[in-house]
Amino acid sequence: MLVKDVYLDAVMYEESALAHLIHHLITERKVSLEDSLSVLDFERADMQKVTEMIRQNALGFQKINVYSLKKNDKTFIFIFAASRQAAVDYYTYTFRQRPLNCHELSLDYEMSRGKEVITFRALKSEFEKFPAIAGHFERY
Amino acid sequence: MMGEKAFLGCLMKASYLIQDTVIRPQHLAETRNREIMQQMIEFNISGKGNDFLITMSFKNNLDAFGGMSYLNELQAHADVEKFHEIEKLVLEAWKEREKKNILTLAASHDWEISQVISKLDKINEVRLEDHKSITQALADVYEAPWQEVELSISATTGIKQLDVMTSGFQDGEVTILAARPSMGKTDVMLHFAKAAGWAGYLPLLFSLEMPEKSITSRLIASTGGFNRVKMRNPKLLLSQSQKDRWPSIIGSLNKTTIQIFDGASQTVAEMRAKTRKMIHQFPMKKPIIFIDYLTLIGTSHKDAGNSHMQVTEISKSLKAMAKEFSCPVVCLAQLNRNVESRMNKRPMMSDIRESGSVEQDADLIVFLYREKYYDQSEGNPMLELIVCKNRNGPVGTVMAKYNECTGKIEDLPESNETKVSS
Repeated sequence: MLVKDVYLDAVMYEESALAHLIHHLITERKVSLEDSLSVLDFERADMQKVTEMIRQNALGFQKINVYSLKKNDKTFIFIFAASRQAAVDYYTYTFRQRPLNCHELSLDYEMSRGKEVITFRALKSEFEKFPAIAGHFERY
Repeated sequence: MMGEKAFLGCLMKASYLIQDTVIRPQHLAETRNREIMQQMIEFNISGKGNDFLITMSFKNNLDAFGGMSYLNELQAHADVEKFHEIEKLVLEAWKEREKKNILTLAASHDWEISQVISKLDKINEVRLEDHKSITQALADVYEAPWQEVELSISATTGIKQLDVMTSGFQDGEVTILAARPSMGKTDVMLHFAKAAGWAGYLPLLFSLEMPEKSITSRLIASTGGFNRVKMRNPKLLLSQSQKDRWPSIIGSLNKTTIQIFDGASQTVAEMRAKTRKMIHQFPMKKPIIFIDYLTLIGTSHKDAGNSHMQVTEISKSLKAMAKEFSCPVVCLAQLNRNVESRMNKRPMMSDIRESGSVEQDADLIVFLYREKYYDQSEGNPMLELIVCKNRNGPVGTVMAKYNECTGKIEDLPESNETKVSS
């Protein structure tokens, strides 16, 4: 596996810290994209600079997570939002009540929709604006 | 917006598509999408081996492109198999936006109708379906040596010998029919129009010179073999037997479905619009366009440019129109007076007024010549149709019989009268 692959994955899964770290190492020429992963040494990074980069969000990530918000004993609402707080706010605004709880789910969680299996990640691309309600689940 | 995302996603996934697509960055609605596409084009030209996403991540002004999350998101929308459909959607959306823009501008600046039409037509010229790979083209003809030839139906000229030489009027070709005044241009054109109409075409007659009334009366006269003088007062001048034939002549003329547009100084853009309308009205028929005559066609910039430039523009747009509608276009043209000063008064290509561009753009150039025109004493009823340019066939001279009084044109009954020179 090459540094390039890890970097691409980090970008694709929007792992901000890892992506910025590798970005930093590459711009500082401490590692190249074509290097093997074994060369990657995080100790060589200037952590202060990386922290600054992450804080400024130099790579422009706007990660959208999916949250499960419990409505009542049986009903759960799934909301795409940038943060837990944003999800709770959106829920409160929409349903005029506080959620019983709020948990982050993995975007790669698979569920069935009609005849196909779909992940939240794929579902996310159907929305233009966030926060948005992805769907709900009822327990019997 | 989704369409644009999907479009960019496809380009990201399959970078070769960027060379195929007709969409340019300015066709996209969102600024950041334009920027991204511009970057893609540059990236593609530079031929860097790395992934586009990685290259982008090292750009300074990532914010302008919506950040890595946005670029990443684009990829999620990619569906390379449906690229063609996506491309169409994006293009349609662009056209729609442009249309609105033009119409708003036109309303606020009080544009002339012709300007609005030509601007709108320009949008339509961005087309997707004008590409064919050589593999596809060759596959289409691969079996040709073993296949029965389907006779290509083309608009007949109504003159047998001319049909042999040109195989009728071909789709997408411009024919120029030129002669000195009163040589019989309009009559020949009407003859062509009738023949094409009876053959199942939809003749669209743009008569910039003559009003619809005279065209109709000429059509009746030539079809029925009536003297044109008598058409001034049919009730008084026509004989009883001619009156008896009148309804059947009207009936057979009606079958030609000729459409006459007699507005003066119509522009090519207007003709396009009218043609398009007619195509919708008669979806089963193929149009064939007749224009009487070239230098009367209006141009978009009336005062600017000399007449040579205008004719160049017109002849170009005629060719474009023929190609766009994939139909034959027949346009009449005047000859200048150089012909008269020569001993042999048969016209040559350079005699067409403002000829340069016309010579180039026309696929078929036919001149008309009558001995009798110059020598009244001769009773020779022959009309020579001199084919002096034929892109896809021989050139030569075809003889036909022309009746000056009725305007009727007939094939010569006997012997081959064609002189083919190449």
